[in-house]
Amino acid sequence: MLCILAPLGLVIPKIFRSTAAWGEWGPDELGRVVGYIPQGLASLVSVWRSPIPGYAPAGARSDPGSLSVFYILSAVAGVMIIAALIFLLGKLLARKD
Amino acid sequence: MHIPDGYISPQTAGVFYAIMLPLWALASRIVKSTLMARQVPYLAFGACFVFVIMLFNIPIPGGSTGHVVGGTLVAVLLGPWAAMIAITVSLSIQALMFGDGGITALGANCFNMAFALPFVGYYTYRLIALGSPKWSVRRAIGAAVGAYMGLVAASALTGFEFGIQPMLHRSMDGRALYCPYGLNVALPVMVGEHLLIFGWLEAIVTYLAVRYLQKEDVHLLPD
Repeated sequence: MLCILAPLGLVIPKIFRSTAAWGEWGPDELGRVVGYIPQGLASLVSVWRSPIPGYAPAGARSDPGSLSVFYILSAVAGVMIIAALIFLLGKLLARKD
Repeated sequence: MHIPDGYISPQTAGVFYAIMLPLWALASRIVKSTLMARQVPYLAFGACFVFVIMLFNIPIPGGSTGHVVGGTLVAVLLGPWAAMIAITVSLSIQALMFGDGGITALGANCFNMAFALPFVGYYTYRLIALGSPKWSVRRAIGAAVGAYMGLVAASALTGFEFGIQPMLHRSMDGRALYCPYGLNVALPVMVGEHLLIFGWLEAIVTYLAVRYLQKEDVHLLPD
């Protein structure tokens, strides 16, 4: 069951991606490609400011080494939060054996 | 294939939230009547697995990237409704904490990856694996084919959701308000990527995982 930890050892940050996945470009990147930034997109893009955008805190050092560390820390944090939420949901939803 | 905020209109986003709310409610009801307490750690593992595996961005020719979801595997082990809950939790944390996928788009992303993907995957698996014993290769193949179909289905839905935006929402000067790429681009790109590359990766990962679990503890697979 502690193989929850095993995949973490494999989190290799893919920091050498050339562009974002198709359809996941930021407004500036999209603007450069199509020549304009769609109005609706421009207004909706900031409807939510996540704490750790792109799995690395904003304003932090962005060299590959630091990004790798942030990526791994984000992965660990994400896993812990998700596991906690599922166990909570489990308490509410699961039947006692 | 996480749709970010701004690529689909509030109207489109609203439609998918409206579709997901009863589905989530139904999933809760079904899971409540079938999930045993001892299965909860597996559900947690499933949600974490899906989250972690989506962190691996795989570059493809043309400069884009993509990832495997792993949702069919969870559905094979715990059923499609439990998988829907697990994947929803992962997608929610990705969107809320890491900005991976939009908040307005969460309903649509869940419809694609937490509903369509595991359901297509699970029933394809059942169709292929019907009658075969738990330790058989046919089970793993069924899961792999299911995973492939599930991912491609999700990608088709995503491409469709992107592609209808310019048709539905244009400003006075003819510019798109949200996603600027129509169906003629969005659909082939999304489906093509997943049909040709990511679907195969999803299938291989799922196959290997099922074979591994069959050796480790074959009773993890439900009948």
